[in-house]
Amino acid sequence: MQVFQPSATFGRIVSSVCEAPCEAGCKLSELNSGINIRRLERASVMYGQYNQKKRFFISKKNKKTAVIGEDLFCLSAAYELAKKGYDVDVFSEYGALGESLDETLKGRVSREDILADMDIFKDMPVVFHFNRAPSKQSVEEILTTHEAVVLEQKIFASLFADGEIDAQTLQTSVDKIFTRKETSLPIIGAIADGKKAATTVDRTLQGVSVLEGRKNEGSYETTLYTSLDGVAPDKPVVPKGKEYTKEEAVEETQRCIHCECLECVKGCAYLKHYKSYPKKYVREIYNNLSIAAGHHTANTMINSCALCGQCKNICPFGLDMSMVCHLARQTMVETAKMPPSAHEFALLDMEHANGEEYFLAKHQSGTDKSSYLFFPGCQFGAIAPQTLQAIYADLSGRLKGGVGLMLGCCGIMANWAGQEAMFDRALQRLKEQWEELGKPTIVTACTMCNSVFEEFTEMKTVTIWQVLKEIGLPPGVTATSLEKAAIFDACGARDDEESRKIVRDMARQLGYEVHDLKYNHETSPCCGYGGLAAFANRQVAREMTDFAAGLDEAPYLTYCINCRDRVGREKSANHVLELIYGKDDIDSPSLSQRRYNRAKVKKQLLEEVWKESVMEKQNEIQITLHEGVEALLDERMILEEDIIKVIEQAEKTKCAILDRKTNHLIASRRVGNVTFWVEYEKENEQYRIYRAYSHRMMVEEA
Amino acid sequence: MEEKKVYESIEADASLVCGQCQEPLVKGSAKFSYMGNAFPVELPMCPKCKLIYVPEELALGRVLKVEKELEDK
Ligand SMILES: [Zn+2]
Repeated sequence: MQVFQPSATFGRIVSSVCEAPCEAGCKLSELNSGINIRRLERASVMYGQYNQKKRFFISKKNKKTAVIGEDLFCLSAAYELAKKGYDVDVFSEYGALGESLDETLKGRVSREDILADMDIFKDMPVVFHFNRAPSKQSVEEILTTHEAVVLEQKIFASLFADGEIDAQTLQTSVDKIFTRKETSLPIIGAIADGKKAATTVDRTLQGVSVLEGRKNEGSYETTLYTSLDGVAPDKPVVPKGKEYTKEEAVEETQRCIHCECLECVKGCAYLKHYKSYPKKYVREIYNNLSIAAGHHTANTMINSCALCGQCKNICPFGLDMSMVCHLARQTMVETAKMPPSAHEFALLDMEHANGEEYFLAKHQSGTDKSSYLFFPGCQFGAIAPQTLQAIYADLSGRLKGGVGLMLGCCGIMANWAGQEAMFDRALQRLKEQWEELGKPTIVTACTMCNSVFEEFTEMKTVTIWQVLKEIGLPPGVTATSLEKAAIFDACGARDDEESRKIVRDMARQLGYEVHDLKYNHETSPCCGYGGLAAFANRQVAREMTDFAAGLDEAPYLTYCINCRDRVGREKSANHVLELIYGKDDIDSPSLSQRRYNRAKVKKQLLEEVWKESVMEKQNEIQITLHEGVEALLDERMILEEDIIKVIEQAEKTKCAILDRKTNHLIASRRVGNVTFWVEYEKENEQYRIYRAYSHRMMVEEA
Repeated sequence: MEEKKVYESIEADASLVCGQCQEPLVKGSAKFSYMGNAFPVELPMCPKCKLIYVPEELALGRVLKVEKELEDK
C-alpha cells in the first residue's frame, strides 16, 4: 500500500474511477484474474495514512507557464509544472477549484474526495483564475505573457480546428501550445498525459532535447521476467460492500506473487547467500570499486562468486554476475586492492601444480614425437592419481602416433583470482612446452582446461570424451547392472554441448539409467570449487556444494574431478572416468594428501613408464595427526608441510613453549606471508600434532 | 607521561614456560604489524629470551578480524 502513495497524484479520484489498465497487466491475469489494484488503492486511501504529500524542494525557474482548462489533464500538468519550479497560472471557466471535476465525475467520486485531492496545490506556485471563458483572443493574450501554454483538449479542438498534435510529446502545430489526444483512458491517461506535457514544456524551455530518453515514459511493457511455475490460479477477493474492508484488502494483497525475476538466484547458492538480487549486487560492486579509501565492504562478496556463468545462462536477458565479479577482481588486482589472503592458498597450489613436484612434459616413453598430449589437469592428479595413470596407460596404448603427457595447471586458478599477468605466464609456459613437443593435439580430461585452451591459446585440443567416443571404451569395460543416476554437469562444459552429450551416452553405455537434474547442461550450479570460492569464502562454497548435492536423491555422475570431489563428500558420486578406469582408494583426499598425490603420481609415472629413477623427498620429521586434526587443517587451510617446517625449526633452535600441564610443545614459524603455530609432542621418533593455527600479522617484541 | 594505547593484553598461563630457558612466561610488550599498520599489545613471553606466544583464541579472533579489516581498507 505504500507504493501507491508517492506515485499517484489525485489518489482519491484515481482510486475511485481509474480504468485500472494495470490489472490486465498483472502477471496473475495470465492464470485467472489479476490483483484488484484499483480497489486496493481505494482501500489504502480509506484505511491508510493517506495524508498530504511531503513537501519537496523546488528550485525556482523564474519562468511563467499557463494552463487553460481544469480537467484532470490540465490539473496534472499544472501540478507537474509547479513541481518543476515554474510559476503556473491556471485559467478556468468554472467558479471554483474542483467544480469542473465535480461535474464530470458526478456520482462516481464524492465532492469531499475531489476537494481533498485539490489540497496538493497548497503552497505550490500555482495561481487559479476562475470565470475566464477561453477564446482565441484570451489565449493569444496569455501567450504574450507566458512562455508555454497547456490547453485542455476540447478547448484546443474548438479554437484550433485544424491544429495537429504529436501524441508522443504532446507538442502541437501551434507554437508554445501543448495539449493531449483523446484516449481510451480519460482518468489515468489524462493524468499521465499532464505529466508528459509538463516534461515537454520543461525540456522546451530548458532548450534540451524533447525526445531523448523518453521511450519508457508513462506505462510500458516491462522486461521483467516472472515465472508462474508453482503458482496456483486463485480467485480475487470480492468485496461484500461497495469497496474492500481493511481485512478484505489485506486478503487481496496476499494474492500478490511479488513479481520479480529471481530465476538466477533460485539456482545459485552464492546469489542466495547475500539475500538480495543481482541488480543490487552489481551496484554494491560498482560502489566498492569506486571508493578510493574506506571500507571495501563487497570484497568478500566479489571473491565468493564461482564465476561459473550459470546466472548468465538462466537469465532471460543474460545478466552475468560472473563477468561482473571477474572484472571486479581484475580491477582490484590492478589497483592493489585485492585482499592478500583471498587467493594466496589457491595460487600457491597452482604454483605447486606447475612446480617440480608435479609438472612434467614428455613424449610417450620410447618415442621422440607425439601426435597427442594427454593433459589431465592439476586436480585430477591431486584427487585421482591412480585413475589418471590408468587413463594414460590406455590412451598411450590405443592412440596412434605417440601420446605425450603433460602434468600441470592450465592457469585457470590465476585467471579466477583476477591475476592476468600470472595467468598469461602460466599459459605461455605451457605453450612453449607444447611447441617443444612438436605441437601435438592436446587431450584434456577437464572441461575447464579445455575451455581455457580453446579460448586463450591456439593449441589444438580434443576432449577425452571425443577421443573415447572415437576409439570406444577400453576392452573389458562393460555395462554393469542397471542403476539410476543423475548427471551433474560441469561449469567448464557450458559451451561444450558435445561433451555433455557424449558423457550421457557413455553413462548409458556403462549401464546407467541417467536423467538430468533440475538445473542441467548450461545451467547447472557450481559444485563450490569454481572461481576459488572455496578459498575465499568457505561458508558460501559449502552452501554451493550442499545446494548442488541436494538437487536430486539419485547418485550423481560427474565429468569434472572437482565436482566429484566436492559433491562426493555429501552424497554418492562418481566421475565417469572412474567408472571406466577405476577409483582411487582414498577418493576425497585432504589438502595435504592432494599434494602428496601429485608428487606420487609423477614419481610413479617416471619410474614405471619412463623407467627413470626419482629421488624421493625425505622428511626428517615424521608427523602423526591426532584425532580430528586432519579436518581442522583442511578447515584452516594449513598443510602438513607447513607443520613440518615449524617443527624442523623448533627442534633445531629449541625455541618452543612448553605447557607443563600437558607436556606439549607450542612452536611457531613464519612461512611466506603466514605465521604457523603448532602444538605437538615428540613420540618415539615421531611427532604427534594436537592442533595448528595461523595468522598473517607479524608479531615481534616491542 | 603520554599514555600508550594497548590493543590487547593477554595474561600468561601459569603452566607455560620457555622450552629453552625454563622461565615461566610473563606478560610483556610486543607489537603486531600488517600492511603498514602497527598495534602495540601485551603478550605472554619469556622474560629472558623474549620468545613470544600468540594464543589460538587471539590469532583466530581479534587478530583475524583486524587482518580482514586492513585488507578491505
Ligand atoms: Zn626463553
